[in-house]
Amino acid sequence: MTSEVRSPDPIRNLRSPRPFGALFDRLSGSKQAPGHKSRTTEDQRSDLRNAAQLALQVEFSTIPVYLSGLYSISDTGSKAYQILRSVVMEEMFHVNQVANLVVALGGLPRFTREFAPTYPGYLPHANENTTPLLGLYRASIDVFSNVYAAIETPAPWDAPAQGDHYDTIAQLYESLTQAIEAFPGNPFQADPPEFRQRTDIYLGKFGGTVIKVHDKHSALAGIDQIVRQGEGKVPADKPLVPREPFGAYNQYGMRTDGTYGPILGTPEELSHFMKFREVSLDQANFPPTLPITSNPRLDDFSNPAALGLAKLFNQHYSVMLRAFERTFVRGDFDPFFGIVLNLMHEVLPSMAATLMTTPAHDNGNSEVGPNAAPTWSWDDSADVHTLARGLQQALDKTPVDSPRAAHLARAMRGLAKLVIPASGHAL
Amino acid sequence: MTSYKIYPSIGVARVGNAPAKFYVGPEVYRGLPTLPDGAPFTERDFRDDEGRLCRQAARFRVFREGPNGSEEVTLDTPGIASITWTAHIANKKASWYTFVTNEGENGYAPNHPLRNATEPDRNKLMIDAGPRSIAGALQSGVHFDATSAPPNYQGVNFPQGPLNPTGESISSLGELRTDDAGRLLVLGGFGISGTAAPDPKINEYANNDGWWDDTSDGPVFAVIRLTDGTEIRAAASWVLVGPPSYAPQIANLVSLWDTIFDAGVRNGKVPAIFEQGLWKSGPSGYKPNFQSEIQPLLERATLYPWVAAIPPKPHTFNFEQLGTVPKSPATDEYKGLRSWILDVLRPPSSENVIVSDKGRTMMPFLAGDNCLILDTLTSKYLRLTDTQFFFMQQWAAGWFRNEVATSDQAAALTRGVLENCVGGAFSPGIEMGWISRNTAIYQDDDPLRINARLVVDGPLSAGFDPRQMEPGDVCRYMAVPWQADFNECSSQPMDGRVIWWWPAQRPEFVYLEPPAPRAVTTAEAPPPPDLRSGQQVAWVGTDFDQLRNDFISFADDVDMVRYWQGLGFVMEKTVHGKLRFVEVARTLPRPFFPPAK
Repeated sequence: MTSEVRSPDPIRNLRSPRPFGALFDRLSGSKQAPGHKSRTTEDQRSDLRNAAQLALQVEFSTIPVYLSGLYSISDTGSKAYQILRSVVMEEMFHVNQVANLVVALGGLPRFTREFAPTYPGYLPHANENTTPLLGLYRASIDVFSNVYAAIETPAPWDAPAQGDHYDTIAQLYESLTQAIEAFPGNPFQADPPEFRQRTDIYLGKFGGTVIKVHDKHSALAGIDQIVRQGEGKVPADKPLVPREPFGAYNQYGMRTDGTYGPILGTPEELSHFMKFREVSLDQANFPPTLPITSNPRLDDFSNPAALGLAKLFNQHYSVMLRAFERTFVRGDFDPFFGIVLNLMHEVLPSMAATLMTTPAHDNGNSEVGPNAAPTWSWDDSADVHTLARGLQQALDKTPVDSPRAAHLARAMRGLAKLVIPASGHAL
Repeated sequence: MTSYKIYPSIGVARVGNAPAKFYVGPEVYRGLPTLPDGAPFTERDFRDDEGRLCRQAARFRVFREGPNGSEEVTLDTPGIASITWTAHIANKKASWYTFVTNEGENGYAPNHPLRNATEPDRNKLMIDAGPRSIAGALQSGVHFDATSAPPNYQGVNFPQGPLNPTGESISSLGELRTDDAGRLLVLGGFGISGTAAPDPKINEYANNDGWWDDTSDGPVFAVIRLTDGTEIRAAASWVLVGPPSYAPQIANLVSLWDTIFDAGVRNGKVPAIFEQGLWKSGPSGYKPNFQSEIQPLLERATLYPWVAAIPPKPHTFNFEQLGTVPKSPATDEYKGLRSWILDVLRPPSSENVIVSDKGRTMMPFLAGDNCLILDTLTSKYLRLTDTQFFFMQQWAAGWFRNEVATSDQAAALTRGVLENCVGGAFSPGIEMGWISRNTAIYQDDDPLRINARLVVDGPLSAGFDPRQMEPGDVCRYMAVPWQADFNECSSQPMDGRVIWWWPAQRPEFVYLEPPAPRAVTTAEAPPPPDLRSGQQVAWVGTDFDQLRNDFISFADDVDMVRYWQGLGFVMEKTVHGKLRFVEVARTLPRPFFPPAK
């Protein structure tokens, strides 16, 4: 599977990366299939696996974009924060669901090294003219409207399936759906010997139920949930969650009586697109944000504290990615609850808050900015065993009365909860 | 030394309007009531043959405590000649201070108003029939009414004449019976509430001058006579008479047992958990048992979606993962998951926090003691007790056990009864209010047993002495009439959200049992959505507009006084092969709009 993957061009020409080359010319179900008739079933399954991995990278690429904006909002109770947070959580559901798809096709879902996204850039294999430039931006009305809502733009109802140069994510999924449907037989295996699907790691109150993929039906049901929740291709009168006779999903949101509260039964959940649009149209209530650098690069930080923290963030992020990838490997070691969850929920947010209150330039003023921000870059040298030492050194160098000291101390407390294996499990 | 004690140390009876048929209150956690004849309890047993709601009796037993634990003593026990029970219940609601959230818990201020302040004779504001005794097996007919009061008893008082709106009179607070082994059964009132005013109005959820109800409380004593003629006084218990339990198998996150136990722990009565002001935390500290001290809390969250509009997904837990005791800190693979749950629980001192600084909605999503007085907003939201939170902290850190819980059967009886009651929020509450947190009312050597005073000749005191608790000294902190608070405390708009009160005791939304499936013909209209999909419906009132004054309640509290006995019960049933909690035994039509008066 890795044979076709090329490292991103070191010179940024800001074109959509195409790691899977001409994959979509070969995918079963594609109209351009002639000439590839000689491919074996296993070849076709490999193509499907690559297409699923592409979907995984598409989903994952959005998360740092959303998180950069999320962490820059200082009022966690604000509507903008809560809505953006709900979307990020549901993107994690999408990642989990697509990862199960990859596993069921016999592969390991990849998040590390060349599979980690780079910013600014485009979604892989996307049409640069119709999909937005993904960047790490300070949240604003315009970012919600022109980046976030643009990522989640619905496909027109009758839009065709598109592989390479897709206009919307929904159309990419449509081509994946067609390829699955056209596959002769069942390409899915619920429990491959090396890898495992996960249905126990999507926690919390947000929408969607992770499905174990074992056949075409379950695979398509998973994709259907993603598309409906994300871009909202389905007509608005169709429920997001299938009607269940009891214990149905109660969504809290704006009710048809005009108040906020529980929407009984199995309500229509707003698509991500509509959620973002709702925030961007409510200019008056947009919350204050931290004065961070948009699209930060390590070279931008002349403040050594900012540079050190940014690198430290990348190490934690990279360990998290490695451990997350490992979560899908069958075996007696599962780093999800011991390492990934706390890094995601406690350590990385606190470190991001530290960065975002640290001036990018020496002697800068953190109230004025520009402040540093995570670059979300892969660091191959990151090692779970050295994280605490690095964080402690950063903490030692931080003036105790600076705004970032409390955030950093909190990251340290989160790190102390990690269950780090003694040896034998390189993370 | 052998000592005799009555258990449960606090028992709970409940009102009902059926004159004869009754059931015995559940004595195990989340249990159904039991029938006096031992027959299995079915959904038909919530009511009598005429559809009237049955009263719940509180059953009391005597236990002999010896070196080998406790054993029950009945009339059938060799060496026992007789057991003579004496109980005394009263209602002092109208004579006490007004209920104002939080105020008075640390003593009332000099300007705190009394209820019915213009009445100089405070005993005229009490309902009291004096003490009653009963002995033997299968006895009945010992009523708490005016006519059968002991001749020397001073202070018998009942509300005069028929009360509005129902035209009924409060002529009895209940009845004593015994079962076939001589155990005591205490029955409470019939749920009659009212006022002499010709145009009855309820202006407030807790304090309504001129109003009465027939709930009550008071001590229960027993004298055991042995065949050798020795007479022994057993340690006294207390009986509370409260509103019906409409969802007996669904428990409150903070039960009354949790609250009283926590008060005892913080008072130093359980040194294994808390001693000399220090919590026994860390690896060498107290290790809570997952099966009895952690899993039930998580389970309660899982059950709430059956009685409130709460999403089930985040309230569903993997007990296998969460109950795995780590062999060593380095191999504790579920620590992150446990911490993740702890982090969403509202910690002590954060009673006003609904969204954490990480953006998570803090749990429980329930109203706190004081969310009503806007300029002194403290404890807007409920939180776990200190002891519950301590257990969760130890568990999250990995210092816990997972084993079958063993417990003394007598102590288990008290716990089983009180775990089915509300332990917060106290605004003012259902069975017992914040007086339950006052450690001064409990015995020094038994933090679950109230200091009981036997009032032989009366009249009852209008004051408060925590060392000498009298009949009526517990229920007076509750709303008068109880139906007012019960009706209004459904949902609470707060900070732009709608927060729930006591869904496990006073359901907000319920599921209906769908009709048996039948062949669908195209000509036929589909069944209404709530029956087709099992969608939640309002237990009382309407659900489509949160701003309507009958949103999941009656628009007028007086209608709860009229119609409380027609509301449905929530019971576990097998529906389409799966266990569900559905509404049963409702006699009011659905939807029900009270007729114009």
